[in-house]
Amino acid sequence: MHPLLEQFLEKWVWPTAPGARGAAFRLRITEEKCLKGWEIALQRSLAEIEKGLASGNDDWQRRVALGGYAGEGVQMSIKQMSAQLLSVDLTEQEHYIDLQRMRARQVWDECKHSKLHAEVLMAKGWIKDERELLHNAAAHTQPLPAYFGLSMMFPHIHPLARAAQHYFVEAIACLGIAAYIHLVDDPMVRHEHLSQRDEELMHFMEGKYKIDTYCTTLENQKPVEDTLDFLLHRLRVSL
Amino acid sequence: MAELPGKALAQELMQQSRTESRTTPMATVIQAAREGKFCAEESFRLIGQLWTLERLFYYIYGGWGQGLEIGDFPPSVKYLFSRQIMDESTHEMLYLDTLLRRRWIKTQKEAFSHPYGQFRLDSALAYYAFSLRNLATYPHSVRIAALNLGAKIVELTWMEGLAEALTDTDLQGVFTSQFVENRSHISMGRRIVEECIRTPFEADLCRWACGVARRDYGIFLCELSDMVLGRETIVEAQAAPLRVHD
Repeated sequence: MHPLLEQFLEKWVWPTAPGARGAAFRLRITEEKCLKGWEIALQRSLAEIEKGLASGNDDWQRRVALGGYAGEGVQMSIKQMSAQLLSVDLTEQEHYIDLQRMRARQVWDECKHSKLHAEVLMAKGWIKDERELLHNAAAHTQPLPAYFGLSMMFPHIHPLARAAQHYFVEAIACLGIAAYIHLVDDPMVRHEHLSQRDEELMHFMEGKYKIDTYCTTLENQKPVEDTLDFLLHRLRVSL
Repeated sequence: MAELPGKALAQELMQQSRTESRTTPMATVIQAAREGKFCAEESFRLIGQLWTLERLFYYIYGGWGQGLEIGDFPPSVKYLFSRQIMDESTHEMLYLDTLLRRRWIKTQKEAFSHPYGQFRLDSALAYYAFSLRNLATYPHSVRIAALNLGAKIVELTWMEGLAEALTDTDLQGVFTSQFVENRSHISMGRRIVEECIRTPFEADLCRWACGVARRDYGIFLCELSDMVLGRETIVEAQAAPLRVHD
């Protein structure tokens, strides 16, 4: 196991709050499903970064920034997070208002992230200002429409289903950031990733918290596990 | 930036809202506070209802955010909106925290079922929230004009008045701590209208939406002040009966 993953697991995955009734379920899906995915995702990130560094030019940084801009931020995330603000019925708000509070924070976090990607593109001279990106298809297209569509379907699936995305995919984001910080010296690329680190970790911890706190019955666990299976098998996230 | 197309309209909407904000149903609540008649029970009622309204904003903004598309507005408009979503959530938590800290309720769950925190469908609060939710049908710049240059100006004015009248510094802080965000929402509204409202058609929509938001917020304030001061609320239909076909 790569030391970056080992460190992440020790610090953030294995510790469990006393009395957390959903923790056994979380640890089972971690061992059965998440670990392999995280390991592959980290290896892939490291390999891609090394390939970029070996290319002898900065174009890979431009592609990473454009991809990041397309995948999070003002254009993609507001729609997703808004759908999830609506995933809690009024009659269920007393149980799940925390989910809405966390979404309200995440929409702001994600928008700051798109700004970081835009800053890289500006600092490197690839664009003059962010508005230029309005006419750049690469800044608005991504390879997994069904992933983002899934996010928008949570109001029709279950308020807790998003926890699978948070726990599994935000961990991959954390590991990807760790890989960039580990390998890249370029100050703008480090800024792009380092500035997101705490927020991505918070989003992962939200998934962990939601599973540990709320996923205490088979009924509550099923939508989370189904979503995780969809991510692993249909979208092949990190496989 | 003299060439901003919506500059005059923003000034017009702000001026109208400032004028209307001078006389609102909250004047009697502020007067009660000045006379020392705004005690724990009245505070509980006020904070409970304001919290109920704030928790409805998750649905209003959720609906608005769903309507944003790539390329429809400059990125800055969306950055400001995402910040506004978080600010509103902060205010929701601020009110709930006050309810808990004051021991008016023992748990968060209790707030949802307490008569002061309960959401009732047949209420002016619901009327206002639904009215805002309907603005999801309109361009983002129009709904932001309605809320940020309409109801929010009225809200800031009565909150400033109430904060000034309160002697309870802790309760005063609940309102004064929101001022920085409320003022920034008004500034956001001004900037968005100035920059994005370009045609007479859009300007007319803004005038209409701003008027509706102020009116429906005023109806809510009427219900709120009645409830806070323990008066019986008189419900009056605000518009002539309308045949609805859908």
